[in-house]
Amino acid sequence: MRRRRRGRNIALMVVLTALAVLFYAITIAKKMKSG
Amino acid sequence: MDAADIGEQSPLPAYVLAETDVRDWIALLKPRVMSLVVFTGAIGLLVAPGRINPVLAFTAVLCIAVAAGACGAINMWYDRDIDAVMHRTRNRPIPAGRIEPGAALAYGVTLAVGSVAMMFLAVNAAAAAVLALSIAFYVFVYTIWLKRRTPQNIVIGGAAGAFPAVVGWAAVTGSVDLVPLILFAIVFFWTPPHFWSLALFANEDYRRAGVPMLPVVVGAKETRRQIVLYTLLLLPLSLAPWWIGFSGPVYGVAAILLGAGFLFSVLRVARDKQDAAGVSLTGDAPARAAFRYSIAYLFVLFAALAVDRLVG
Repeated sequence: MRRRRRGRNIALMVVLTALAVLFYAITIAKKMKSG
Repeated sequence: MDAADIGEQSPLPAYVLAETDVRDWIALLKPRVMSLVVFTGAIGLLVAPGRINPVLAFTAVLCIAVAAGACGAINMWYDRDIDAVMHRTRNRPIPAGRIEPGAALAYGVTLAVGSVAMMFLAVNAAAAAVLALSIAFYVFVYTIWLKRRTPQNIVIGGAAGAFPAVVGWAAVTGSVDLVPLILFAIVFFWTPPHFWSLALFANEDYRRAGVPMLPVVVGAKETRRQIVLYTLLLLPLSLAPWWIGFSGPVYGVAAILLGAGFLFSVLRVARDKQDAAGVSLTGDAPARAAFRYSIAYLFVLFAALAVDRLVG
Protein backbone atom coordinates (compact mmCIF):
# COMPACT_ATOMS: atom_id res chain seq x y z
CA MET A 1 0.00 0.00 0.00
CA ARG A 2 2.82 2.38 0.89
CA ARG A 3 4.52 1.56 -2.41
CA ARG A 4 1.32 2.36 -4.35
CA ARG A 5 0.92 5.66 -2.52
CA ARG A 6 4.55 6.50 -3.27
CA GLY A 7 3.91 5.65 -6.94
CA ARG A 8 0.91 8.00 -7.05
CA ASN A 9 2.88 10.80 -5.40
CA ILE A 10 5.74 10.46 -7.86
CA ALA A 11 3.32 10.41 -10.82
CA LEU A 12 1.62 13.56 -9.51
CA MET A 13 4.95 15.29 -9.05
CA VAL A 14 6.01 14.41 -12.60
CA VAL A 15 2.71 15.72 -14.04
CA LEU A 16 2.88 18.98 -12.07
CA THR A 17 6.53 19.56 -13.00
CA ALA A 18 5.77 18.89 -16.67
CA LEU A 19 2.85 21.33 -16.55
CA ALA A 20 5.02 24.03 -14.97
CA VAL A 21 7.66 23.57 -17.71
CA LEU A 22 4.95 23.59 -20.39
CA PHE A 23 3.37 26.81 -19.07
CA TYR A 24 6.83 28.40 -19.08
CA ALA A 25 7.45 27.29 -22.67
CA ILE A 26 3.98 28.46 -23.78
CA THR A 27 4.62 31.88 -22.27
CA ILE A 28 7.91 32.19 -24.16
CA ALA A 29 6.27 31.00 -27.40
CA LYS A 30 3.40 33.49 -27.05
CA LYS A 31 5.86 36.31 -26.28
CA MET A 32 7.87 35.45 -29.42
CA LYS A 33 4.68 35.36 -31.49
CA SER A 34 3.50 38.78 -30.30
CA GLY A 35 6.82 40.39 -30.05
CA MET B 1 -33.85 -4.39 -20.17
CA ASP B 2 -32.86 -0.91 -19.12
CA ALA B 3 -29.93 0.55 -17.27
CA ALA B 4 -31.63 0.37 -13.88
CA ASP B 5 -32.32 -3.36 -14.29
CA ILE B 6 -28.71 -3.99 -15.19
CA GLY B 7 -27.52 -2.12 -12.12
CA GLU B 8 -29.78 -4.19 -9.84
CA GLN B 9 -28.69 -7.50 -11.35
CA SER B 10 -24.98 -6.75 -11.01
CA PRO B 11 -24.35 -4.67 -7.92
CA LEU B 12 -20.97 -3.02 -8.05
CA PRO B 13 -18.38 -4.33 -5.61
CA ALA B 14 -17.35 -2.49 -2.48
CA TYR B 15 -14.60 -0.01 -3.22
CA VAL B 16 -11.16 -0.77 -1.91
CA LEU B 17 -9.44 2.49 -2.61
CA ALA B 18 -6.16 1.34 -1.10
CA GLU B 19 -5.68 -0.88 -4.15
CA THR B 20 -5.92 2.01 -6.61
CA ASP B 21 -2.86 2.15 -8.79
CA VAL B 22 -1.52 4.85 -11.11
CA ARG B 23 -2.21 2.44 -13.97
CA ASP B 24 -5.93 2.52 -13.11
CA TRP B 25 -6.02 6.30 -13.53
CA ILE B 26 -4.29 5.90 -16.87
CA ALA B 27 -6.73 3.13 -17.88
CA LEU B 28 -9.64 5.53 -17.19
CA LEU B 29 -8.34 7.66 -20.06
CA LYS B 30 -8.79 4.77 -22.55
CA PRO B 31 -5.23 5.15 -23.92
CA ARG B 32 -5.82 2.95 -26.98
CA VAL B 33 -8.76 5.07 -28.16
CA MET B 34 -6.74 8.16 -27.30
CA SER B 35 -3.89 7.13 -29.61
CA LEU B 36 -6.12 7.19 -32.72
CA VAL B 37 -7.70 10.50 -31.67
CA VAL B 38 -4.28 12.07 -31.06
CA PHE B 39 -3.05 10.80 -34.40
CA THR B 40 -5.95 12.23 -36.43
CA GLY B 41 -5.69 15.51 -34.47
CA ALA B 42 -1.96 15.72 -35.18
CA ILE B 43 -2.55 15.05 -38.88
CA GLY B 44 -5.19 17.81 -39.02
CA LEU B 45 -2.58 20.11 -37.52
CA LEU B 46 0.23 18.95 -39.84
CA VAL B 47 -1.68 19.31 -43.12
CA ALA B 48 -3.27 22.67 -42.31
CA PRO B 49 -1.90 25.62 -44.25
CA GLY B 50 0.10 28.10 -42.20
CA ARG B 51 2.63 27.90 -39.41
CA ILE B 52 2.34 27.26 -35.72
CA ASN B 53 5.02 27.45 -33.05
CA PRO B 54 6.12 23.86 -32.21
CA VAL B 55 5.43 24.44 -28.50
CA LEU B 56 1.89 25.56 -29.28
CA ALA B 57 1.46 22.64 -31.70
CA PHE B 58 2.54 20.25 -28.95
CA THR B 59 0.14 21.96 -26.55
CA ALA B 60 -2.73 21.63 -29.03
CA VAL B 61 -2.09 17.89 -29.47
CA LEU B 62 -1.75 17.49 -25.69
CA CYS B 63 -5.11 19.24 -25.19
CA ILE B 64 -6.73 16.91 -27.76
CA ALA B 65 -5.23 13.90 -25.94
CA VAL B 66 -6.35 15.10 -22.50
CA ALA B 67 -9.86 15.92 -23.79
CA ALA B 68 -10.13 12.43 -25.32
CA GLY B 69 -8.99 10.93 -22.02
CA ALA B 70 -11.52 13.04 -20.14
CA CYS B 71 -14.28 11.71 -22.40
CA GLY B 72 -13.09 8.17 -21.67
CA ALA B 73 -13.19 8.74 -17.90
CA ILE B 74 -16.68 10.31 -17.99
CA ASN B 75 -17.86 7.50 -20.27
CA MET B 76 -16.54 4.88 -17.84
CA TRP B 77 -18.27 6.69 -14.97
CA TYR B 78 -21.62 6.77 -16.77
CA ASP B 79 -21.38 3.22 -18.16
CA ARG B 80 -20.11 1.56 -14.98
CA ASP B 81 -23.28 -0.57 -14.70
CA ILE B 82 -23.03 -2.04 -18.20
CA ASP B 83 -19.23 -2.32 -17.96
CA ALA B 84 -19.73 -4.58 -14.93
CA VAL B 85 -21.91 -6.91 -17.02
CA MET B 86 -19.78 -7.09 -20.15
CA HIS B 87 -16.91 -9.58 -20.24
CA ARG B 88 -14.74 -7.20 -22.27
CA THR B 89 -15.05 -4.33 -19.77
CA ARG B 90 -15.73 -5.82 -16.36
CA ASN B 91 -12.11 -5.47 -15.24
CA ARG B 92 -12.10 -1.71 -15.85
CA PRO B 93 -11.14 0.30 -12.74
CA ILE B 94 -14.67 1.30 -11.69
CA PRO B 95 -16.57 -2.02 -12.07
CA ALA B 96 -13.56 -3.86 -10.63
CA GLY B 97 -13.85 -1.64 -7.55
CA ARG B 98 -10.44 0.00 -7.79
CA ILE B 99 -11.67 3.57 -8.37
CA GLU B 100 -14.74 5.21 -6.84
CA PRO B 101 -17.27 6.45 -9.48
CA GLY B 102 -17.41 9.99 -8.06
CA ALA B 103 -13.63 10.27 -8.20
CA ALA B 104 -13.62 9.13 -11.84
CA LEU B 105 -16.26 11.72 -12.73
CA ALA B 106 -14.36 14.51 -10.96
CA TYR B 107 -11.17 13.41 -12.73
CA GLY B 108 -12.88 13.43 -16.15
CA VAL B 109 -14.62 16.79 -15.67
CA THR B 110 -11.41 18.41 -14.38
CA LEU B 111 -9.43 17.16 -17.38
CA ALA B 112 -12.20 18.23 -19.81
CA VAL B 113 -12.41 21.75 -18.43
CA GLY B 114 -8.62 22.01 -18.13
CA SER B 115 -8.00 20.89 -21.73
CA VAL B 116 -10.48 23.39 -23.20
CA ALA B 117 -9.19 26.25 -20.99
CA MET B 118 -5.60 25.48 -21.94
CA MET B 119 -6.46 25.27 -25.65
CA PHE B 120 -8.18 28.66 -25.40
CA LEU B 121 -5.37 30.35 -23.47
CA ALA B 122 -2.41 28.82 -25.32
CA VAL B 123 -3.69 28.20 -28.87
CA ASN B 124 -6.88 29.95 -30.03
CA ALA B 125 -10.62 30.31 -29.43
CA ALA B 126 -11.70 28.36 -32.56
CA ALA B 127 -9.75 25.23 -31.59
CA ALA B 128 -11.02 25.51 -28.00
CA ALA B 129 -14.63 25.87 -29.21
CA VAL B 130 -14.43 22.79 -31.48
CA LEU B 131 -12.72 20.84 -28.67
CA ALA B 132 -15.50 21.81 -26.21
CA LEU B 133 -18.11 20.83 -28.81
CA SER B 134 -16.47 17.43 -29.33
CA ILE B 135 -16.41 16.71 -25.58
CA ALA B 136 -20.05 17.79 -25.17
CA PHE B 137 -21.05 15.68 -28.18
CA TYR B 138 -19.29 12.56 -26.88
CA VAL B 139 -20.60 12.87 -23.32
CA PHE B 140 -24.14 14.18 -23.79
CA VAL B 141 -25.14 13.09 -27.30
CA TYR B 142 -23.32 9.74 -27.59
CA THR B 143 -22.80 8.41 -24.05
CA ILE B 144 -25.87 9.70 -22.26
CA TRP B 145 -28.44 10.09 -25.03
CA LEU B 146 -27.82 7.68 -27.91
CA LYS B 147 -25.74 4.74 -26.70
CA ARG B 148 -28.50 2.94 -24.80
CA ARG B 149 -31.41 4.08 -26.96
CA THR B 150 -30.76 3.41 -30.64
CA PRO B 151 -28.77 1.09 -32.92
CA GLN B 152 -27.71 4.26 -34.73
CA ASN B 153 -25.70 5.18 -31.60
CA ILE B 154 -22.28 4.85 -33.19
CA VAL B 155 -23.39 6.35 -36.52
CA ILE B 156 -24.40 9.69 -35.01
CA GLY B 157 -22.02 9.36 -32.05
CA GLY B 158 -19.21 8.74 -34.51
CA ALA B 159 -19.11 12.49 -35.04
CA ALA B 160 -17.44 12.82 -31.64
CA GLY B 161 -14.44 10.81 -32.86
CA ALA B 162 -14.33 12.80 -36.09
CA PHE B 163 -13.73 16.16 -34.44
CA PRO B 164 -9.97 15.90 -33.57
CA ALA B 165 -8.78 16.49 -37.15
CA VAL B 166 -10.92 19.64 -37.22
CA VAL B 167 -9.47 20.74 -33.87
CA GLY B 168 -5.93 20.24 -35.18
CA TRP B 169 -6.69 22.25 -38.31
CA ALA B 170 -8.35 25.06 -36.30
CA ALA B 171 -5.30 25.19 -33.99
CA VAL B 172 -3.18 26.31 -36.96
CA THR B 173 -5.62 28.38 -39.01
CA GLY B 174 -8.00 29.69 -36.33
CA SER B 175 -10.91 28.66 -38.57
CA VAL B 176 -12.70 25.69 -40.14
CA ASP B 177 -13.18 25.20 -43.88
CA LEU B 178 -13.85 22.48 -46.47
CA VAL B 179 -10.75 20.27 -45.99
CA PRO B 180 -11.15 19.63 -42.23
CA LEU B 181 -14.84 18.95 -42.90
CA ILE B 182 -13.80 16.29 -45.45
CA LEU B 183 -11.45 14.76 -42.86
CA PHE B 184 -14.34 14.87 -40.41
CA ALA B 185 -16.58 13.07 -42.93
CA ILE B 186 -13.94 10.39 -43.60
CA VAL B 187 -13.71 9.49 -39.89
CA PHE B 188 -17.51 9.78 -39.59
CA PHE B 189 -18.17 7.21 -42.35
CA TRP B 190 -15.27 5.03 -41.22
CA THR B 191 -16.78 4.65 -37.73
CA PRO B 192 -19.79 2.38 -38.52
CA PRO B 193 -17.83 -0.39 -40.34
CA HIS B 194 -15.16 -0.17 -37.63
CA PHE B 195 -17.51 -0.44 -34.64
CA TRP B 196 -20.01 -2.82 -36.20
CA SER B 197 -17.16 -5.24 -36.98
CA LEU B 198 -16.36 -5.15 -33.27
CA ALA B 199 -20.07 -5.44 -32.40
CA LEU B 200 -20.36 -8.60 -34.51
CA PHE B 201 -17.84 -10.52 -32.45
CA ALA B 202 -18.75 -8.84 -29.14
CA ASN B 203 -22.47 -9.32 -29.84
CA GLU B 204 -23.16 -11.52 -26.82
CA ASP B 205 -21.55 -8.98 -24.48
CA TYR B 206 -23.67 -6.14 -25.84
CA ARG B 207 -26.83 -8.29 -25.71
CA ARG B 208 -26.18 -9.19 -22.07
CA ALA B 209 -25.61 -5.54 -21.18
CA GLY B 210 -28.73 -4.41 -23.05
CA VAL B 211 -26.82 -2.05 -25.35
CA PRO B 212 -28.77 -1.79 -28.64
CA MET B 213 -25.83 -2.23 -30.99
CA LEU B 214 -26.91 -3.00 -34.55
CA PRO B 215 -26.28 -6.80 -34.44
CA VAL B 216 -28.32 -7.03 -31.21
CA VAL B 217 -31.29 -5.17 -32.73
CA VAL B 218 -31.38 -6.21 -36.40
CA GLY B 219 -29.16 -9.30 -36.39
CA ALA B 220 -25.75 -10.15 -37.79
CA LYS B 221 -26.86 -10.55 -41.41
CA GLU B 222 -28.25 -7.00 -41.74
CA THR B 223 -25.24 -5.64 -39.83
CA ARG B 224 -22.88 -7.21 -42.39
CA ARG B 225 -24.88 -5.55 -45.19
CA GLN B 226 -24.70 -2.17 -43.44
CA ILE B 227 -20.95 -2.55 -42.95
CA VAL B 228 -20.51 -2.99 -46.71
CA LEU B 229 -22.83 -0.04 -47.48
CA TYR B 230 -20.96 2.36 -45.19
CA THR B 231 -17.63 1.20 -46.61
CA LEU B 232 -18.92 1.90 -50.13
CA LEU B 233 -19.84 5.43 -49.01
CA LEU B 234 -16.43 5.88 -47.38
CA LEU B 235 -14.35 4.97 -50.42
CA PRO B 236 -15.26 7.87 -52.77
CA LEU B 237 -15.20 10.23 -49.80
CA SER B 238 -11.63 9.16 -48.97
CA LEU B 239 -10.62 10.35 -52.46
CA ALA B 240 -12.13 13.82 -51.94
CA PRO B 241 -8.87 15.49 -50.75
CA TRP B 242 -7.32 14.39 -54.08
CA TRP B 243 -10.32 15.40 -56.21
CA ILE B 244 -10.45 18.92 -54.79
CA GLY B 245 -6.71 19.31 -55.35
CA PHE B 246 -5.72 19.49 -51.71
CA SER B 247 -3.46 16.44 -51.99
CA GLY B 248 -1.50 14.80 -54.79
CA PRO B 249 -1.07 11.32 -56.31
CA VAL B 250 0.74 9.89 -53.26
CA TYR B 251 -2.43 10.27 -51.24
CA GLY B 252 -4.70 9.38 -54.16
CA VAL B 253 -2.96 6.06 -54.87
CA ALA B 254 -2.78 5.25 -51.15
CA ALA B 255 -6.51 5.98 -50.73
CA ILE B 256 -7.40 3.73 -53.70
CA LEU B 257 -5.23 0.83 -52.51
CA LEU B 258 -6.28 1.13 -48.88
CA GLY B 259 -9.93 1.46 -49.89
CA ALA B 260 -9.71 -1.65 -52.08
CA GLY B 261 -8.24 -3.52 -49.11
CA PHE B 262 -11.01 -2.27 -46.84
CA LEU B 263 -13.69 -3.29 -49.35
CA PHE B 264 -12.13 -6.74 -49.72
CA SER B 265 -12.02 -7.05 -45.94
CA VAL B 266 -15.71 -6.15 -45.40
CA LEU B 267 -16.83 -8.31 -48.36
CA ARG B 268 -15.22 -11.23 -46.53
CA VAL B 269 -17.34 -10.26 -43.50
CA ALA B 270 -20.48 -10.24 -45.68
CA ARG B 271 -19.59 -13.69 -47.09
CA ASP B 272 -18.69 -15.20 -43.73
CA LYS B 273 -20.02 -18.74 -43.26
CA GLN B 274 -23.18 -18.35 -41.21
CA ASP B 275 -26.28 -20.22 -40.09
CA ALA B 276 -29.86 -19.32 -41.09
CA ALA B 277 -30.01 -16.63 -38.38
CA GLY B 278 -26.79 -15.08 -39.64
CA VAL B 279 -24.65 -16.26 -36.72
CA SER B 280 -21.05 -16.77 -37.82
CA LEU B 281 -19.76 -20.34 -38.05
CA THR B 282 -16.14 -19.18 -38.10
CA GLY B 283 -16.09 -17.40 -34.75
CA ASP B 284 -16.46 -14.10 -36.64
CA ALA B 285 -12.89 -14.40 -37.92
CA PRO B 286 -13.57 -12.05 -40.91
CA ALA B 287 -15.15 -9.44 -38.60
CA ARG B 288 -12.11 -9.57 -36.31
CA ALA B 289 -9.84 -9.13 -39.31
CA ALA B 290 -11.96 -6.24 -40.64
CA PHE B 291 -11.85 -4.54 -37.23
CA ARG B 292 -8.05 -4.76 -37.17
CA TYR B 293 -7.80 -3.62 -40.78
CA SER B 294 -10.07 -0.63 -40.16
CA ILE B 295 -7.68 0.71 -37.52
CA ALA B 296 -4.67 0.30 -39.81
CA TYR B 297 -6.69 1.83 -42.67
CA LEU B 298 -7.33 5.10 -40.85
CA PHE B 299 -3.77 5.35 -39.54
CA VAL B 300 -2.17 4.77 -42.95
CA LEU B 301 -4.71 6.90 -44.88
CA PHE B 302 -4.10 9.92 -42.66
CA ALA B 303 -0.35 9.29 -42.62
CA ALA B 304 -0.43 9.24 -46.45
CA LEU B 305 -2.20 12.60 -46.44
CA ALA B 306 0.50 14.08 -44.22
CA VAL B 307 3.32 12.56 -46.30
CA ASP B 308 1.71 13.83 -49.51
CA ARG B 309 1.44 17.36 -48.10
CA LEU B 310 4.98 17.34 -46.75
CA VAL B 311 6.63 16.04 -49.94
CA GLY B 312 4.23 17.65 -52.42
